[in-house]
Amino acid sequence: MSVLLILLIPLFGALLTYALGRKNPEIAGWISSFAALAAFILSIFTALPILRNSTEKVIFEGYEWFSAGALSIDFALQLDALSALMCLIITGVGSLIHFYSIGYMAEDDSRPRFFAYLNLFLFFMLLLVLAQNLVLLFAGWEGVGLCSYLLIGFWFKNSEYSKAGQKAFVVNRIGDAGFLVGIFALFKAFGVLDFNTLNVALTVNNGAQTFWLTLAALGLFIGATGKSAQIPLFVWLPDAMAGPTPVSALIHAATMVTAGIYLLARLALLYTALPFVQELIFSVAFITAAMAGLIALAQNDLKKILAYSTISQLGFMFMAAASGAYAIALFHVTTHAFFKACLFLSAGNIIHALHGEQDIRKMGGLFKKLPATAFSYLICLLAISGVYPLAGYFSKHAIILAAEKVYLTEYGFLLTALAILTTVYMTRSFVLVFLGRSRFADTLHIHKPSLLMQLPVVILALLSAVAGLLLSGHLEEFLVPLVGAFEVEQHAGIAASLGDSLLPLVIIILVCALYLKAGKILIFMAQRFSLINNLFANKFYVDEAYQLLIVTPLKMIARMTAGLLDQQLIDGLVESFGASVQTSAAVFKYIHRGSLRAYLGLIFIGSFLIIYFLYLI
Amino acid sequence: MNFLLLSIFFPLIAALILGAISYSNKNIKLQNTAVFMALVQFILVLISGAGIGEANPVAFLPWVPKFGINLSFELSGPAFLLTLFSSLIFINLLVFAGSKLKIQHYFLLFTVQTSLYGALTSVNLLLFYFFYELMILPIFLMLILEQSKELKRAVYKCIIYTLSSSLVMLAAIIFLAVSAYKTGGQISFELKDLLNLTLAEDTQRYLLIAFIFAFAVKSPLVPFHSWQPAIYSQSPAFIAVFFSSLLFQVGIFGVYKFCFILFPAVISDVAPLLSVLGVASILLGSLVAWRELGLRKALAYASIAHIGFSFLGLGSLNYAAVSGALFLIITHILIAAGLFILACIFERNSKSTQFAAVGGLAKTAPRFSFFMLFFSLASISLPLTASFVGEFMVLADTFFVYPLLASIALLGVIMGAVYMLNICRQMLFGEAHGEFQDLTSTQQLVLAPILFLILLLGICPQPVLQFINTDTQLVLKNIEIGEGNIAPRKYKLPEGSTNLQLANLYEDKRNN
Repeated sequence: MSVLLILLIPLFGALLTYALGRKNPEIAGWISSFAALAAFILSIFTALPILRNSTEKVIFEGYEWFSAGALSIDFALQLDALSALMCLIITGVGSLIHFYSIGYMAEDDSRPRFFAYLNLFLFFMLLLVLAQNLVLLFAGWEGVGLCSYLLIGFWFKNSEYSKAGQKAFVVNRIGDAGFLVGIFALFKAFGVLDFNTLNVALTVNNGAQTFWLTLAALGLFIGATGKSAQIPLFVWLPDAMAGPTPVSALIHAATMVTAGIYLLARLALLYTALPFVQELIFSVAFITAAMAGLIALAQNDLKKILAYSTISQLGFMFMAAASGAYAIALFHVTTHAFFKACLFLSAGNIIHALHGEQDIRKMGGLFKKLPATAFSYLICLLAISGVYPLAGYFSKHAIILAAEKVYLTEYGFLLTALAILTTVYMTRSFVLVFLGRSRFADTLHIHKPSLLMQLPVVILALLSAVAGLLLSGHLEEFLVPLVGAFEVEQHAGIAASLGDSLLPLVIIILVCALYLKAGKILIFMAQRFSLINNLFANKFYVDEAYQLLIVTPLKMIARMTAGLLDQQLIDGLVESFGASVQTSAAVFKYIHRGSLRAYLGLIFIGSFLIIYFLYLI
Repeated sequence: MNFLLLSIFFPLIAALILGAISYSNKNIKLQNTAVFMALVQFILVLISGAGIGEANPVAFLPWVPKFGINLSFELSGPAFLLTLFSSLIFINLLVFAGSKLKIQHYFLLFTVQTSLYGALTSVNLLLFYFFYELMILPIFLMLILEQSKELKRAVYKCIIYTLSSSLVMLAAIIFLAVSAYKTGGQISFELKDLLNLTLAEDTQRYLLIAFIFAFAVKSPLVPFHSWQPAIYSQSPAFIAVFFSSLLFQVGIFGVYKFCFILFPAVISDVAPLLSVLGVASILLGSLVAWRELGLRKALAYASIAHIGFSFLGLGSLNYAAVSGALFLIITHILIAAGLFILACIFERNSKSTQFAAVGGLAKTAPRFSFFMLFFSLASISLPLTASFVGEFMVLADTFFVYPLLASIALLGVIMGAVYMLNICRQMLFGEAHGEFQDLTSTQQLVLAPILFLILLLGICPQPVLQFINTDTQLVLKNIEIGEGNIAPRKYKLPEGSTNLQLANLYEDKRNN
């Protein structure tokens, strides 16, 4: 029952926030924040037995949602090690971001709507991770998409923003169609869709039904590429930065976008049995990570840099999952939730301080003005770059080791290169925002972040610092009953770990030096290699390519369907049928026009014909 | 007292009473009385449904017994649901239409109600035909009074098209009755007498196609839809809502009610065609809806797409898919009513038929925007709304039989989001330009129950589905089709599987 309550608290929170907040916008944020906090506390208490023994499950049997014949879907919830981890991330990081939003949105008139949406998002996200079957998971999956749509277009007066929301929804719908094919194929293969039975079926399956299972795995992965912004469906996430920054932190960095990895981990047995699909996922994830990293190098919008960084990090998580190291993927989900949420909230503070400015070329020198934010950003920069003993080191290092073990045994340097890429673009953003001379007008009054906006950032920075040390090893062990074990040989000893950290540190210092002391060289380089620079800055022209190859032809087909097929052919046939009846009627009308002479003539012709046919043949 | 008979003919009685009232007092306001009558009707339908499940309520009155034409009705589970939801929407419609309606409108609308209920429940084919035709005539009379020349043309097209298509069905019905005479020595139009005819399979096929043709025009199904968009987009508000949310159901339900039962031996030959045309409707409907700029016209094409999903499910002849198809009719009644009511309000308030005429309604008319967004999301079958349940059942179970068709139909799921959100964006978001009056409290009162029902049926559909499932099971039992239709499919364990314990667990779980 308490599992259901975890789910319902944010839902009622949303209703209450909107109902009470409309009269009194000040309390809207507090209601929803405390709803989130309550869900977090309840999650901890409900998950206690699981935290002690991770084979435990807390189940809410629920009721029969719908069924007919062989199809039977329950509205049932299940809290196990995997969903407990996700629940804690969602409600924990979620609560922090809720409280942060009270400060961030303090001047917005539509706060009640905003906080109601946030709580509604928590509801759907929790439904996604607590669902006991794929269909209910899909309900949460589409629900978070809906909230994402509503929140990206939150400032709907700007029609660009609502266009971005629509794009996110439609691109995700394409993924969802794949998701549905996956569900249907699994249903065709096994006739069941709840996870426990599916896992049993997959365990006893012994390689039967390969075609449908492959289709299912691919379909669900397409769904995952939509929600988790991988090639080919990643195009919506950068545009999604149109939403308020806390939304970017919560939905588009920490929680919703990791749903794809959660899905793969949920169906670990399905994917592990299909090495071909795993290889495909790995390749897609690797290319995505590389591509997003390169694009991030050439972006100037702070939030866009972070968005591409998210895409790239999600690629890392998918690489881990594709290597069979689901626990490590989820470990990175966890650490990433901390440091990326922190980065986004810091970005929020910066943007707030500069009255909405997001272009890093117009920032600089903010270290002294926003020391706490800058320090948090720095910690997260070190964390994401994989410097020991910060959180990112543990998860990212494990991913690289796992991927090397399974796929890129000979080409381990490719992964190290990817990691370096991360360090470079993140350091670039840090330098341009915080160091050097300030490039905004001196008269600009810098908004200092309030305590409500500063505290969550600091807490998250702290978590980014220590989570790795605390969780490394334990988290993987915790998840073993659900996603299986995966052995990687972590470096033993602190000395070796420090040695690993040397490279990112050197890179960070180099990039800092380059941007601070040799900016002219960079400008020269950018001009010299303008082709490549443009390619990165314009996101490899993927949007344009989609427009040209998919949207435009589809519009043409639609126009032809409406004009040629529907109007001319189908309706034309019907009309001409009617016209032919009218013509023949006109002929008969002419005959029956009441002229005696005509009748006599016809009688004469008729008699002649009768006589001819009867007697003369 | 036979409540079934009463519930069918009560609207006719109500029409007469309303007529008498208006005759005696010219100035009286009829709306309240009419709404009251509709409410009584709703309660009668509810009462008449008692006992469904064990034994369906029946009613029988001889009319022309010599020719086997009788007033015989049977209220099956799905028919009960359809009449129930229709009578509910009818109340909303009367409240929505407000004081604009005159006595002749009330009279005709109530007559249509009787013919609608009659068509849904009658189990005498000639009686069915009678009601089926009677349904369209009052609409014709109401529309022909309108001034617009374009509309008049559309009305004639609609009438001639649907009447001539149902003439084909009438020929098939008479053929069946005559065949009954040949085998049993007695002309009969009773459904139960016509079930046991031994006709050549070829003959059956022709008859089946005659039925399906009539129903396909009425629903409408691509490529027989060309009468529909003009009627939906140009009729006066209350008729458009009435047409789009209530009258479409007879066609789809007719396929299930007559074609499945009368021709169990050959339905599986023709059924794939239903599915293919269903997918064609989905694709054509969504593509054209995307290019339309008129709100009601776009919604008209969206309706075609939605109806396509029902036909896709029916054609698969698979248990859950057929149940889902019938469930989709109910959801479409609700969603089409909601969307067309909103569209009519929009046209009245913005004085334009184009949805882009006034933007930014989310700011200027938040209540309108809320309902519009909700119904749009329901129409693209977001989970936890009713249409998701129906669509999922249809697609998942159709995929079992026709994986490719179901996958193509998923393109319609994507396209749905494209055109509906496009409409929403241009209507609700962006900068506001132009005046727009938000929903009145009456209008909210009309829409709120529909919204509530859509949510309820999305979260907790099983009690309603139960009515459908029982009947579907009976109907499909007679149809011979491939593997694993009605009995729960069993997952076959691969040979040499050693993990017996797990296997048993699986079997247990499956059997529950």
